[in-house]
Order: sequence, then structure tokens, then C-alpha cells
Amino acid sequence: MRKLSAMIVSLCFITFTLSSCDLFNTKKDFDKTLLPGKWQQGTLYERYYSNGDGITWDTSDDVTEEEALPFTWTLEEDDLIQIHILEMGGKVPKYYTVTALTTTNLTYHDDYGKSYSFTRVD
Amino acid sequence: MKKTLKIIGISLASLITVLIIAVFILLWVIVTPDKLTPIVRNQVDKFILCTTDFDTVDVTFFSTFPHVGLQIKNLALINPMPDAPSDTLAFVEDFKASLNLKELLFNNTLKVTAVYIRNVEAHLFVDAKGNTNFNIVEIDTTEEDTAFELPFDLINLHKISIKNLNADYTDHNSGMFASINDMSALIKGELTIEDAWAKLTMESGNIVFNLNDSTPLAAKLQSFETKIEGEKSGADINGSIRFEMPEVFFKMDTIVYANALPVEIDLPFTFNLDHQKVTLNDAEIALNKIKIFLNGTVHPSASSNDIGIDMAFHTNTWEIPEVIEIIPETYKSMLNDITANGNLELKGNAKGTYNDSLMPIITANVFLADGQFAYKKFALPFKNISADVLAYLDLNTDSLSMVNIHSLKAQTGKNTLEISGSIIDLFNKMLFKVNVNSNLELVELKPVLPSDMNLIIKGKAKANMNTDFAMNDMQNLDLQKIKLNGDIRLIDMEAVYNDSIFVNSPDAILKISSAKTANNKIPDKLFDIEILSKDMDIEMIDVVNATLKEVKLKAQVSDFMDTTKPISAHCDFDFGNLNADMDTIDAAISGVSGSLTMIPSKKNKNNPEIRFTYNNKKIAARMGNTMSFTGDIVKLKGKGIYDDQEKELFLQWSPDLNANISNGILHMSSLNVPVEIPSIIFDFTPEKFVINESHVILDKSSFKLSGVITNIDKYYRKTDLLKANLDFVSDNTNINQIMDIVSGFGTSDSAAATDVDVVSKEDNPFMVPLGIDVLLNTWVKKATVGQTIIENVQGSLTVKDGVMILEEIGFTCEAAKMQLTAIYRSPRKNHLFAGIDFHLLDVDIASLLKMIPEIDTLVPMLKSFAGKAEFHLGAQTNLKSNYELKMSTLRASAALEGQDLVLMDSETFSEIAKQLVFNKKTENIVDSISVEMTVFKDEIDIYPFLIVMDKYKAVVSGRHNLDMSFDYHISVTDSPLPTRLGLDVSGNIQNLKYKLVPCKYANLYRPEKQKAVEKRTMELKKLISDALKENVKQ
Repeated sequence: MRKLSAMIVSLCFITFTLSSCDLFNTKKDFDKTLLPGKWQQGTLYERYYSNGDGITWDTSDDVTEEEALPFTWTLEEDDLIQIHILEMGGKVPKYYTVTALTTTNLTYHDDYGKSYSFTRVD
Repeated sequence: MKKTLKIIGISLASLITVLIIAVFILLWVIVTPDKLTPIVRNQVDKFILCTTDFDTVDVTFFSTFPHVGLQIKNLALINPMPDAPSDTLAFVEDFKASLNLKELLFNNTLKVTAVYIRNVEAHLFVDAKGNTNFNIVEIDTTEEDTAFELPFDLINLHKISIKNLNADYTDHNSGMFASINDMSALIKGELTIEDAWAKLTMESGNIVFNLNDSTPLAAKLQSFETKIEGEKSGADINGSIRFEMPEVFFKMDTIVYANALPVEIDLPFTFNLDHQKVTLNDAEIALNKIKIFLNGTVHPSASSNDIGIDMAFHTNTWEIPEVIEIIPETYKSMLNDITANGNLELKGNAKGTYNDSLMPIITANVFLADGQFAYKKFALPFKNISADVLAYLDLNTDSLSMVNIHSLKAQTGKNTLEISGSIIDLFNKMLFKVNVNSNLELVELKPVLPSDMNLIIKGKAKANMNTDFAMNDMQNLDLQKIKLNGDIRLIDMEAVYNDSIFVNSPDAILKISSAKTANNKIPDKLFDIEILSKDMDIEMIDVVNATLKEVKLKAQVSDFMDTTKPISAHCDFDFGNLNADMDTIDAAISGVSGSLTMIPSKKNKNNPEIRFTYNNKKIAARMGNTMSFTGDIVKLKGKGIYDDQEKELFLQWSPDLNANISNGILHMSSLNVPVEIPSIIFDFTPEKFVINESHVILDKSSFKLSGVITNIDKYYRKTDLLKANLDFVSDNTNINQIMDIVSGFGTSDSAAATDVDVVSKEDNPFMVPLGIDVLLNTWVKKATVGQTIIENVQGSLTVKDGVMILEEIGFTCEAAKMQLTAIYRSPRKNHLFAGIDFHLLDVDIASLLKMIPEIDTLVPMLKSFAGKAEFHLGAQTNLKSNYELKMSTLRASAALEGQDLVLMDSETFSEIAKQLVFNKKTENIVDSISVEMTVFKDEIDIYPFLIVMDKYKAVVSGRHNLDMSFDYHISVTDSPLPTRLGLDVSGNIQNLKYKLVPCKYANLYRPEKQKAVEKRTMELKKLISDALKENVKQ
């Protein structure tokens, strides 16, 4: 019984300790300086600026870079939030989880399983 | 008897024989040449200064019977001078003088009764200094008052006979030379105290006269005959003078005035010695066949140099070619291109005083008949010319000389011309006051038109014109000084100009007047022109084809010949009816009237200013099948001032226009309904366009537009936007139709051309005008947008440089109070932009879904609720040319807030309630709901929202796509059950799948238990909601 009590206390301690130290937190921390630049996935393009602004366009819809739509972005750890700004004043936030960010590749997905994989083009 | 006669005969013969013997004794024994010659030579030497020589002097008896004669043979007067043509002054082969023997024998006086001269050669000479070789008679200079006297008395000289005289006269001092050859003359006469008579008969060979002066003269008569007779009876001397000169040559300077011209002069006269007056009776002067007959008096004054003349004259019938024939060649050459014929007669008189300064006044009637005239450079020959002209020539005062044209008629082809009037100041200004009547076949005028004028004209013209002009002004075509009044009636006129302009009129009257009137519409009016026609067709190929009825045109024009300034013109027009078609446009207009004025611009007189007014009672116009317009009264008034410094047509003219149009109906093929225009009144200037009133009915739409548009000129200069502030007031407006009307205005071709590869030919999206800044203040009582009817629409529509903004339009409909701000841009046809900021402040959900069915796509569960809510929506997207969404650009966010909503029972709700063990009631009231959602491309994300219903609280979130596939989660965070359940709902609306899962949002609405993810979710919800509500108008 004493052994059982000790095991329970130990288990609780370990659990509490691990929990306090966020030992189960698996979020990656990506280097946000890698993000600025022009990324392409098929006909879809995104361009990130280092000041937190960005633009996106899709040439399949006969949209040029000059006609691209703006957004602001933040990247904290692997949380990429794009806030698309409507001309009339509304805002459309999009939250993504980044899974890869290198000098050449960018991959992220949303909570509904839609993923994107971009290649840097400049 | 025979014996008696024999005795008498023998006696007479004996007596004659004795006398003959006595004469012979006298001539050959007593008065022999040897005795007489020294006597004569001695006498001659006394008064002849030059050398004189002769062979013998003899006395004749038989040849000078009954007088004795003194005959000198080979008499020579020798007087040599340097440069003289001969040293012989004169040589007379045979000189015979008949002497009164009684006076010679008993009184020792020399009385010559007759002189006979044969074979004379004479050479008279004057040298350069004026010295002569014929000044040979001794003059007693000691007695200055003693006059020169011949050694015999002329009054006793009854006969002078000259045969074969050849003489010449050379004057180096004056440059004169004259000669006469083979001249014979016989002069007989007798003078008594009571009466006298004289006869001269003379004929000669050549007579030559030359004068080498500053104006050289040369004359030559090939032969010359004259006969002069006179007989004194009381105070009158009756006689005649006749000259016959078969060939006259006369040359002055370089001009030959007569060459081989036969001249005959026959002057029967009476000379009254008491009054010193000469009367001519049927005197005749003939130059070839040209004859002039004179009757009248010439009356030299005894006390002065005045000569009184009262002379009537008339001519025979002159054939014009004969007249031309005697015209000097120099002048005749000027007539080379002229062919003239006809019969000419003159009749008149010369009356007045002639002296050094005065000339008699000549009055002459000129009659011309059967005249013909042709000029090579004038294509029409004239015939049947007749004239009756009175000339009044006052050479003393030129201004009084004049010509009265009683009648001048001519015919050319089928054209007749009749002229009457006068020409005054004939020798100076030549002032014409002429009336011209003509009947013209217009087709025959073609040859006189300029060769480069491609004009074919047919028909007849009757002209009656009065002109008043000076010759100099006519030659200079100084139209300002030419007065012209009259009318031309054109009958069955058909004119074709340049194969492109056709003018036809069965009857038209053209009136022209240069009279000065007080009602001048232009400052420098030259002519008033009036055109009247009941029917006139005008066709300009590829431009216009018009039929005019009841035409009345009144025009004034300035001097169009004056090239130093632009033409001024004014035209008042009045047409009963006008039917015209231009390309695809045709129009029928009645009661057309107005005016058109063109004058030099005040700013720059080289540029024109145009003013116009236009009115019509009825108009019906059509442009192909694309447009037609009918209307009642149209009143236009405007002006334009041309500025050649500008390049754009609009700016070059800077037009002003005042318009008043009523009861117009416009049909356009692009519109299914006509545009009715009950009234439009506006004032347009390049700076400001003021629409005072405009009422337009478009099917069920009826609106009035008024306001001001400015910066029109700056818009054309591309220095500023076209600005407008308009009030749009309408009882009922169909917005879709209005957008169709204004679509595409101002879109540049280049913008459209960039989309040629991607734009379907059928696509014709609404293109927002560029370069304008229009503010349209609207008050629409009832508007139809799509299938929706909205009321009391108040707000503003702004169109600014390619962007259309519907700004905070407030209106109400059956579903809600609404506020809408919308933007539409058309940078290019295949990249349109639309954005809205839409707020429904008190919306009935069911009506909202009915009004805007697309909301069901955004929030599918909304149809499960009933009641009033507040809905905010911000959305934007780019559109293709066919208005299809560009999904990659679709962005939207929405927020829905409601309280006390009824959750409608449905199959879906029943299934959810069953899965989550809800306590279903007949009416499930939702205490409150606050939903935020976004649209990104085809993804519609519903952010977690809380539903409070009875004892239940549930959090709903998820995503669905535009293909209506779902991925939702419902977390029941509060319920009577001891456990918190979660439910995933997925699939599509026809086949939803439900799956119990752990509660996902247990602490989302428990702030004290929220973790980072939950906090971020709530922050994003707030971000969406706040951004939308910022634009709500309080």
C-alpha cells in the first residue's frame, strides 16, 4: 500500500512537473526572416515583406502581381497568421501552422487539413 | 442772097487775115523774145533775191486769147543752202501769165488775169537754224509799215492752171517733210463788188507728210482729188467742198490709224458773211463704207476764239465688221478673240461752244440690230443683239457724261438677256445703274463655269437684278461698293456638284439685296439673301440626303472676296418640314426654325464665332436599328468660338448650349424599354453644365436629374477630373437599366484592348467612366435592384476616375433597415472589382434570406433561425468580364448578432438534438447568438459562437466550402447532463454525417480558463466584428 501510494504520488509529481515544464509542447520555432520573398505554388503566388505586409495573387484568375491583394502576416513559432484586409474595412484572418520553412520551401496547413507547399521563386 | 452771104464771108475772112497778120507782125517783129527777155529779167532781178534764170520770155496771143500772155520758159530759181536737197528752189518749165494788154501798154501796170504753170519742180527747205531757201522776195525794210505787195493785183486773177507740179518741203528745224507729186490744179474765179465765184479743181499723185517730233507723224495720200466751189450771192456764199482720197495712210507714233483707207468728204455749205456762220447741208464724211452725215451750223465768233456749233449728225447703217476693219491694227489685235457682227446706226447732234477750253456737248442715239458677238474666252456666243442707247457726252465736265441704255437685248442659245439702265460719269468713274432681266437655261451655262468646277446644273432661271456699281469697283470686285438687288427664280433646277452634292427644286426663288437695312445681324453685312422654295431636295453622298418643304432662308453675308478677314454670315431658316437621312440616321422634323450666325471672334478676328438657335415642333429621328428619338418641342440656343490654338475639337469651339426639350422618347436597341423624356432644360458651357430640369422615364423608372457639372474644359485638357454634383430624385428607379445606359462611358480603347485574349466578344461589363468625379445625391422613393424593392434610398453615388462608390446609402425594405456602401471599379474589362460594406440593423432573417439568397451560402444554419437580428457584411472580389467571380480574390467577413431567436425545427436540428440529448420543445428559443465568419476564396470559416438555449449552451464552429461540403463541430458546454459532449457534423447538406467526439470548446467562453489558442480565437472574432462595425452610421 505504501508502495502504491508512493507510486501515485511520484506519478502525480512527474505529471505535474512535466506539465509545468510544457514537456509535451511540440510547436516548432521557425525563423521568420526566411519568410520574406516571393513564393509560388502552381499559379498561386505569395510575397512576404519583412515589415509584416504581404500580397497574394493567382494567375489562373488573370490576376497580375500589380493587382495582388494585400495582407499582413505574423509568424510566431509555427503559427502563421495572415490578416487579409478588405478595402471597405473588414478583415479576414487566416491561421496556419507552418510545417516547413527553409530558404527554398514553405509549407503550412490550416486546422481543417488544407495544406500549402510553396517554393521560393526569387 | 447767096451773093450777100458770099460778100460777108469774104469780108470777115479778109478781116481775120489782116488781124492775124497784124498779130504776127506784133509778135515776131515788134515784141520779140530778144527784146522782151532783158526787160523781164531786169524786172525780176529787182524783187527776186536768189539767182534767177530762164531761157526766154515771150508774148503769146493765141494761147491766152483774148489776152496776151507773157510766157517764160525754163524759169529756175537757184538758192543753194547747205543740207538742202537741191540747190534749185524751183524750176518751172513753162510759166505763162495772161496780161491785160491795155493796162500794160497805156498805164504801164502789170495786171495778171490768168496764170498757167506747167511742169514745176520745187524744193522748199528750212535748215536747223530756221533759215529758208524760199525767202527770196525783196522786201523794202526801210519802211516798216509798208506791207508786202505782189507786183500784180490778185483780184484780177481769174484763172490759175497748174499742171504736173512736183514739190517737196524739208524743214530740219521742226523735223517736217512734205511732198506732192504730179499735182494739177485749176482755179477759176471772179470777184466783183457785188458778187464773186470761185472753183478749184485739184488732183495729185502722192502726197506725203512726215513729222519727226516727240510724237512722230506720217501721212500719205496715194492720190488726192478735191473740188471746191463757191459762189457769193448777197451776204451768202454757197458752195461745196469735196475731197476724194482713195488711199489714206496715217501713222502717229507707232500706231497706224489708217492704211489704204478710202476717205471721201463732201461738204455742201453756206457761209453767211454777215454772221460769219457756216451751214452744212447734208454734208457727208465717208471712211470706206462708214458714212457720217452732217447738218448744222458752225459759227465762229468775231470777237473771240469761240466757235458755236450746232451740228446734227447721223450715219448710214454700219456693218460692225466694216467698223472693225478701219480700227487701227494695234487696237484690232485686241479684238482678235472677238467676233462681232450687226448693224449699227448713230443719230445725234453736237451743240455748244468750241474753243481752247470748251467742247460742244454731243448727244447720240446708238441703234444696234441683228448683232452677234462671240469671245473665244467666253464660251457662249450671243446673237440677236439689239440696242437702243442714248449717249450724252459732255467733254467739258466728264461727270455729266452718261449713257442711257433704253434697251439692250441679247440671246445666247436659249438664254435671253435684257439690260436697261444708265452709265453716268462716263469718262471717269463710270457709274452703272443697270437692270438685268434674263431667262436662262441653266444647262447652257455649263461652258462659262470654271473648268475645274464639276457642276452640272439643269433647269430654268428667271433673273431680275438691279445693279449699281462703279466700273473700277467691278473690276476690282469690290463687293462692298457694288449694290445688287433683285431676284432669281429657279424652275425645275437640278444641280450636281462634284458628283457628290445634288440639289433639286421644282421652284425656288433667290432674292439678293445689298440695300442697307437697320436690321443687320452681322456688323459688315454685304448682301441680304433670301431663298424661298416649296420643295427642295439636297443630297450629299455619304453625308446627308434631305428633303425640305416650305423653305424660307434669310441670310446675310459679308464681303467673301475680302481675304483679309474671315467671312461673316447670318442665316435665319424656317422649314415647314425637313426629312433627312445621314448614313444610318434619318430624321423627320416639322416646324424647323432657327438661325445661324458666323462672325469673327472678338479675341482673334481670324477665328470664327458661331451662334445658333434651333427650334422644331416635332421631331422623329432614327439611327439604324440602334436608336430612335421622337419629340415635340426642341429649343436649342448656343454658340461656339473657334480657337486655333487648341487641338481638341471640343476645346477649339468651347461651345455654349442652352437646350429645352420636351416630350421626347428615346428608343435604344440595347434597352428593352424606351427612354421617355418629358422635359430637359439645361445650360451648357465648357466651364459649367447646369441641368436645371430633366425628367426621364425609363419603363417603370421615373427620375429627375438636376445639378451642376463643372471642369468640362479641364477634363478635356486632362488637367482635372470632370466634376459633377447632381441630384437624382425618383419615385421609382430600376437601377439595372440605368447602369446599362451609362455603361462604358469614357473607357479607353487601350484598356479594352489589353483583354482581347481573355474577354469574350459577348461580354460587355459595366465600365465605370474615367476622368470624372461625379457626386449623385439620390432620393429614390422606390428602387428595384434585381428582384428586390427598396424604399427611401437616400445617400450618394460617387463616380470618380473609374471608381463608383455607393456611399452610405440608407434605405429600408421589408426585411430591414439597411446601410450600404459599395465600390465598383473597372480598371480593365476582365478585372473588375466589387466591394460592399453592408449593414442590416434590424433584419428579419427570413426576409433577408429571401432578399439576398446568397447569404444562405455564407451561413447555411441561418435559415434554422427565425426572428430579428443584426447583420454586418464586408466583402470584395474581382470579377471576370462576364461578372464571374475570381475565386482567388474573394474575401468577406460577416457578423450576425441576434437575441431571442427561434430555432426552427428541422431534420438536421432533430438529428443534432438527438445526438446531443437536447430537450426539444415545440419552440426552441435562442437567447442570444453572435456569429463571426469569414470567406477566403472558397473557404467559409464559422468562428466558434455560443448558442444559449434554455439550460443548454453550445459552441458551434466549422468550415464549409462553396460546394456546400461541411466540416462542423458542436460543443455542448452546459447541459443538465453530467458530461460535456461534442459532435462533429460533416458531409454535404443532403448527406450529413454525425459523430460524437470530445467537447472541443469547453472553456472558450470561460475567460478564466482560456488558453492561448482560445484567447487567440476570441481575439480574431473580435477583430472581425470590430472591423465590420466601424462603418455603421449611427
